[in-house]
Amino acid sequence: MQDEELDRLLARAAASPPTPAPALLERVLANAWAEQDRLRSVDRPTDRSATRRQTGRVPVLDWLAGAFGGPPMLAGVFSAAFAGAAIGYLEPGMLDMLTGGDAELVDLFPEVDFLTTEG
Amino acid sequence: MAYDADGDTSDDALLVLYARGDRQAALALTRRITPRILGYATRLLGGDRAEAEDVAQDTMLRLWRIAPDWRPGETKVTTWAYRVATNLCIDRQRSRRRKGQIWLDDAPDIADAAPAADARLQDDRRLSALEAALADLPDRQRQAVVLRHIEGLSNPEIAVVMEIGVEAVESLTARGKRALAALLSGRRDALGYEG
Repeated sequence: MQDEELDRLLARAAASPPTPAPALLERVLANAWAEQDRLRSVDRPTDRSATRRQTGRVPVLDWLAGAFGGPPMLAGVFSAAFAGAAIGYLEPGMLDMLTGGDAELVDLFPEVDFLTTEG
Repeated sequence: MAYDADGDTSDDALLVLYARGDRQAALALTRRITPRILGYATRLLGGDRAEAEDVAQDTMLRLWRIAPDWRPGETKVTTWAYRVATNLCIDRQRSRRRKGQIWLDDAPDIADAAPAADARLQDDRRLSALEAALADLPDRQRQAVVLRHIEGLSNPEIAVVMEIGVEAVESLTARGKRALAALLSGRRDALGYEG
């Protein structure tokens, strides 16, 4: 077969695509709409991110989390702050109970009076 | 808003609209892309229309699912769809070979050597002969020839679909056409070709 004859035949085939059955198009479209419905139900606002979408305002905790590098980091900062406050205010005996260790009171400045004496 | 199947809104834009919940965009994409994938799959699967419809439906379902993650401009929607359809057809071909099944052959028996008097009948017989010859090609040559000369993709697009280089596409297309010409040469008289 000549090249030109084959080219014409291929062009003829390109111009005659099979027509999809209506039932196939209906199934494809039904899948499309079902997938849209599924996406809509997954995306339904139930959490703080919805506040942002709906009002444009960022909830305080979300803003703080963003400032500290995310919710896990923010939780770590809060934990460290709580631990530091606890260590500062609790008596050594209470600290013992919390840590399971032996806490000793060490006076770093045994002669601190020179700092507080006036005159 | 209604979008025509042949309208000005690009496939990319339609897919983004679809992901945002636009029902009409789903309709337009269905009308635009399903026929192309169906035609391609039908030729890859040796004319098995039922299998081709399954491939077309499965390809479109994957398109709907990827829509929320679609990045416009990265690749053409049709190129992506052809690639998915190609892989689905390859899977079915391998499955059939493992089971020892053969594809249906829709080519008519050309027992009557007299040229068809009616032009339209002759045209139909030539197209049927082409489909039969395509089915006889090696898989990769058939993919390349169909994508290039029937689906109208460029060589770079075919390279993406078939996951090969452009030179490999050119080689496959050239060899596929030569093989087609050889297969059809034996039927020239019956198909009404002169000379």
